[in-house]
Amino acid sequence: MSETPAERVRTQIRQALPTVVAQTMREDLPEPAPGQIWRARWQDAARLVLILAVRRDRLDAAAVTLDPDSADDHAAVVDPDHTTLGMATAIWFDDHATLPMRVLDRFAGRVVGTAQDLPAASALIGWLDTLARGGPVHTPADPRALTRAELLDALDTFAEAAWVNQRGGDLRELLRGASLPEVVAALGDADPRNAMSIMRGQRGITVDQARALGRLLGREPEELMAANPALPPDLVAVFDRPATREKVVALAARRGADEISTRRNAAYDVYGMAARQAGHEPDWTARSGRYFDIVLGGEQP
Amino acid sequence: MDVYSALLLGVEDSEQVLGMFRRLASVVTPSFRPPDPHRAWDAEAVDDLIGDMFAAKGPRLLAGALTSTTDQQSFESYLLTAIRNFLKDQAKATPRGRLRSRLETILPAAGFIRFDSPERSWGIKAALRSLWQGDLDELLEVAWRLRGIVVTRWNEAGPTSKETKQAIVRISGAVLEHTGRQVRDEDLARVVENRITLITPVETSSLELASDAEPPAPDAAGDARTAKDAGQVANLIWSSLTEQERAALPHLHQGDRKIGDVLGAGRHVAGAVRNSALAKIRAATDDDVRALDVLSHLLGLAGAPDMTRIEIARLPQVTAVTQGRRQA
Repeated sequence: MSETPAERVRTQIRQALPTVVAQTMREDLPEPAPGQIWRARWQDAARLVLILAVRRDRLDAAAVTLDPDSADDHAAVVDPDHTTLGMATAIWFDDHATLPMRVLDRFAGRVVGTAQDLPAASALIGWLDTLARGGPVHTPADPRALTRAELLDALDTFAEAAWVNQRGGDLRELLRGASLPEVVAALGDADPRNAMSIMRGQRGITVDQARALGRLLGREPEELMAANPALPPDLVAVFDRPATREKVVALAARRGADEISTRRNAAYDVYGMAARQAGHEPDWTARSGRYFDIVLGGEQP
Repeated sequence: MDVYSALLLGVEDSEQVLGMFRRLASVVTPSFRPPDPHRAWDAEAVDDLIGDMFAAKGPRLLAGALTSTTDQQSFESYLLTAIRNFLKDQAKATPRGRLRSRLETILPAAGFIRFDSPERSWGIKAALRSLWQGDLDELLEVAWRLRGIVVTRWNEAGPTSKETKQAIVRISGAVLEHTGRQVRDEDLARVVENRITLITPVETSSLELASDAEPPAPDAAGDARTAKDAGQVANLIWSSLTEQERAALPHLHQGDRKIGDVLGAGRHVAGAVRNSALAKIRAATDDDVRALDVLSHLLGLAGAPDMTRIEIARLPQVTAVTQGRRQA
């Protein structure tokens, strides 16, 4: 007896799911490196990208799509055998862009075979350039023109992704008119050392603290947040890493908060706690790890 | 837990996934004809549709959605578009062999000549004995420079409609004149297919949804050169526009930033949507006066009926249409 449509589609979905969950949304988070494919995500944009090069906290990356039929002549069509995704891909390497590492979200796989041992962007691009490309678009009415436009907009979003004002402001100046007891009371913090650090510009404030101080000073919370001192670049780099982001996402989910403000607040928490402890240059990786162990473990930092 | 979150966590609940697909398909299918042999969109027809999608795309269907979206809502929106596009592709799909047999019927009656050597090919003069060896892309460009082609139906089961025949003859004629050589029938079929399918309406209810006005009868509409009513052409263009293109129409004169705001999209998508809408208008209008009239009707369908003709004439897209005419 032949298979019913319901039986057929059940079988197909059961067969597809292991590939979907195991080969494109992996649980491991390796050190970002050329030849890897990641899901980049920022706000409402998400796309697979191939890392062509890594320079400190920035990446050179090209968008990857899983429907080679949607590729135009800006993209190389890559056989299933050449990535661990197990399916044909289109790699839009003509449109590669510089992205901050903070947009990397989930590890999806890597290029294998020809380009596996080619770490330099030029080598990867050179390899991609040897592959067949999609056909040219002859009319703007071709849906592939929209596909590429969506990719370019996503890359723009990724390129501009930011969770902290890295120039920093002068919070100390804004707080000059308030007394220590007033700031302590506004923050509702039993430890006056925290308020002292904030007033000296040694520690940033969180969104909740900005609201409280805004009421005290008659200023907008956004103005106070923008005046936060710049975070040390090494601390920002730690918070830009995918492994830290995974913890930020977990914390945001637990608190019902958005990811960007959770990341900013957590970074200022780590920074502020370090400011209370004099000594040599902090190990931001260790401090951040300890912080998340505590907050995700349910303890107070 | 929703499907999106479950998949991100590695949970493989096929019943939950199937339930979501059935629910999403029920949103899209009413605008399309059910696939053979089904006569209505019953449960079996929907499961056949989902099964055909998985057969065609495999894990890519879900993996593409999962890697390109950020929550259940955007995940479902992505899949809705995928289902709609699959139905459109199915509706427009014409086996190349069937298209070639259409050419066999239509082109000789229009005075074109069939050659069997050196390969099966078409030409416009019996004396031609050499095959076009150039790039297929060049032929596609020739086809896309043609204006005034509107097709109401493409993958019809019965005899080829009058306007489809006219479109095939015009496209073939332009290509063969451009080459001055014989063109392989496979290549000619590809060009005809590419030029026609992207502008052909496929949603059965789109004309009714588009306007309170009576939809044009297929026999009365057709090639814009012979259509008497710009409103009919506008209805056909409207039915070939995507939802984004329809939403963008009243704002084309306000620039890509405004279009992006309306669509909730970035500048590249705004530009692509605008250019696609313009290309469809240009492809279906054969002179500037008609372009103005058609645009006027289209803006009415898009909810901007109060624009005067002068305002319409000032729209940059009218200039673009005019320029396109000059370039062509």
